[in-house]
Amino acid sequence: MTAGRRRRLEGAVAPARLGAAVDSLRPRTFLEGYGVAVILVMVAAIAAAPLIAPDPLAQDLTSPLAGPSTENWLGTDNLGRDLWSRILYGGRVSLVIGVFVLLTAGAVGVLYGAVSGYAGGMIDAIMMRIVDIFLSFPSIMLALLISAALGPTIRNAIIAIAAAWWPVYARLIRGQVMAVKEREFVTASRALGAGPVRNLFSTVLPNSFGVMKTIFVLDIGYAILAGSTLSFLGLGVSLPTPEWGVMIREALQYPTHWWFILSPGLALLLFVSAINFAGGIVTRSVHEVPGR
Amino acid sequence: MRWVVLRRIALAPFVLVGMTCITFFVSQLIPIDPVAAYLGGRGASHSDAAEQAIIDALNARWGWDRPIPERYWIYLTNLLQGDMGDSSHTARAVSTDLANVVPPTIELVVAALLVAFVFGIPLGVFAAARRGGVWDTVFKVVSTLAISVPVFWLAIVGFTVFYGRLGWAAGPGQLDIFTRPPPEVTKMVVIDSILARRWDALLDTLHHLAFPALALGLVIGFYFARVVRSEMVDALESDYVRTARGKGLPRRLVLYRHALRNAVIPVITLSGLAFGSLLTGIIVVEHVVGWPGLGQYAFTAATRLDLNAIAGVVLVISLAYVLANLVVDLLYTVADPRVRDGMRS
Repeated sequence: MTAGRRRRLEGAVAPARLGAAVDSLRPRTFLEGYGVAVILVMVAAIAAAPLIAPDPLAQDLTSPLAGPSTENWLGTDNLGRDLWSRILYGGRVSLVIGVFVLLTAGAVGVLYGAVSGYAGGMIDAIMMRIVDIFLSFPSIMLALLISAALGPTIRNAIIAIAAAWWPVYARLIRGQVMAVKEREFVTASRALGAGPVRNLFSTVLPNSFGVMKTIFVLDIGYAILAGSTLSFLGLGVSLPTPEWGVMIREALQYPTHWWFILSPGLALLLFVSAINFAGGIVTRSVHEVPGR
Repeated sequence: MRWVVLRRIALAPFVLVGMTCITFFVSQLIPIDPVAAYLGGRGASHSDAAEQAIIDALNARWGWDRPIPERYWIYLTNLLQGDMGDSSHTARAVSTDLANVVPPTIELVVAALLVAFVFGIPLGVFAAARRGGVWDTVFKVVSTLAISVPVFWLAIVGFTVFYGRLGWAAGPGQLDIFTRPPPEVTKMVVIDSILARRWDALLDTLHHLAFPALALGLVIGFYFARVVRSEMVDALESDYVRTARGKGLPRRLVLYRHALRNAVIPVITLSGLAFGSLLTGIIVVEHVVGWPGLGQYAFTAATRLDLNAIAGVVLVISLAYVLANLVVDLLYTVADPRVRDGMRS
C-alpha cells in the first residue's frame, strides 16, 4: 500500500548535488519518455500560442462548424472561431488553474498542517478535527457551492477547488512534520537555540516535503481536470474565454460535429495522461534520494 | 481495531453536526444573496430589478431575515424532526425531493460499483500475473488513459456514439416514455419492477441503467484494477506465494487463493475512498444522460444557490460517506484475519 511506501521515505534529505538530482529525473522507460515529450511539446505550443495560432476570439460567421481544413486545422466552432487556436489558448487557462490551485491549496495546507503537527497536543487535535470535517464534506459540492456563489471567473474557480483540496495537503504534511520533529537533527537544532518558528520552517519543513513532491506533480493533472469539470458544469470559466471544459460544454449542443467535441476532450486526455505517464519519474526521484 | 471502529461510531454524530455547521455557515458567509438568485440575479447589484416588497416577503417566508445563530438553531431543531425546509427551486419540501432522487442514484451507484468490482479485480489479477509482459504494458497504457480521461467528456462522446449513432444505449431517464412505470414502492425502478412482476419494465430500466453504470463503473474499475495489480505484484513476490508454488499448487489456485486474498484488502479501503470521485462522476454522468437522481438535484441546487436543498444534499452525502467508511472498517476486520484476531486479544 502507498502508506507503507511513504513511511519508508521518511528521513532527513541531504541537499542533493544538482547533477545527481537531474540524473534521477531522467525518463527510463518509453512511456515516461513519451509523457515528458508530450508535456514539453504541449507546454511549448501553449506558450507560443500567439505566434502559431490566429485570434481565438475572432468570429467568422460565414463558416461556422466547418470541419478540419488547411486553413482551420481542427475545424471551427459554432461561431466560426478557429478551434486549434482556442485549444492552445484554452490550455493557458487550464494550466493557470492547475498551477494556481496547487500553489494556493499547497500553501494553505502546508502552513496549516505544519503548525498543527509541530504544535501537537490539544491544538493539533482541534485543528485536525476541522480537517476531518472538511475531508468528509464532499469536495465537489464545496467547489460547486463556492463557485456558484462567487460567480464564474478563473480566479473563483481556483479559490473553489483550492478550498476543497487544502485539507488533503494539511493532513499529509502534518504526518510528515510529526515524524520529522522527533528526529535527532531537530533536537540538535533546538539545542543550538533555534526558536519554534525557525525550527519549524528551516529545519523540520524542508525535510518533510518528500511525499508531497510526488503527489503535487500528479495533482496538477487532476487540478486541471477539476477546473474543466467545473467549467463544463457552467461554474468555472465562462464564455467567451476559451477553456477546455467550457469548449466541451459548448460542443454539447452540436453532437454530430465530431471535431468540435473531440478536440478539447482529447487535449485534456493527452495532457493529463502525459502527466500520469511521466509521474513515475518523480516517484522514483523521491525514492532514490541521491546520496542516501 | 475494535476501538477504532467504536471510536468511529461514537464520532459519527459529531462529524455530522460539524458537517451541518459547514453547510450552514459556508452558505451564509459567502457573499451571495439567495433571494436575488431566486429572482434571477446574482448578488446585490441585480436585486434592484425586484421590488423591495417581494424581497422582504421572500426573506420572511424562508426565515432569512433572522440572525444567523438563530437560523442555525431553527435549522438543527427542524432537522431532528426530519424537516429540512423547502427547496426554493422545486417549491417542495427538501425531504420529499430527496426521497425521490436518492433511490435512482442508489441504483446507479450499486450498478456502477458492481461493474467496477466484477471488471476491475480480475483485470488487476490478469495484469499482475503477466507483469512485465506485453499485456501488462497494454494494461498500463489503457488504465492510465482511463484515470486521466475527463468523465463528463467520455460520457458525452459515449452517449453520442452508443445512443445517437448506434442506437444501442437507451435514451435519457429511467424508462422509455412508452413503458408504463411499475407501481412505486421503493422508487428504485429495478426493484419495483421485480416486485410488480413487470418484466417488460425491468428489461427497459436495465437497458437505461446500462450506459451510465458502464461509463462510471469502467472508469472506477480501472482505478480498482491498478490497485489490485500493484498489490498483487507485491504479493506474488512474497515468500508465501513462492512456498505455495514450490508445493506444486496449480497456478490459478496460487493466484486467486493465496495472492488475491491479501491483495484485495486495500481495495476494500479504496472503495471507501473512491466515494468522492464516484460522487463527481454521478453529478456529471447524471447531467449528461438525464438520470433523475441526486447528482442532478445537487447540481441544480448548487447552481441556483438553493440553500435548503444544498444543505439536504450535503447531509445525505455525508451520512452515506460516514456509513460507507464504517462499513469499510467492518469489512476490513472480516477480510483480514490479523485484524480479526487483534480484536479478540
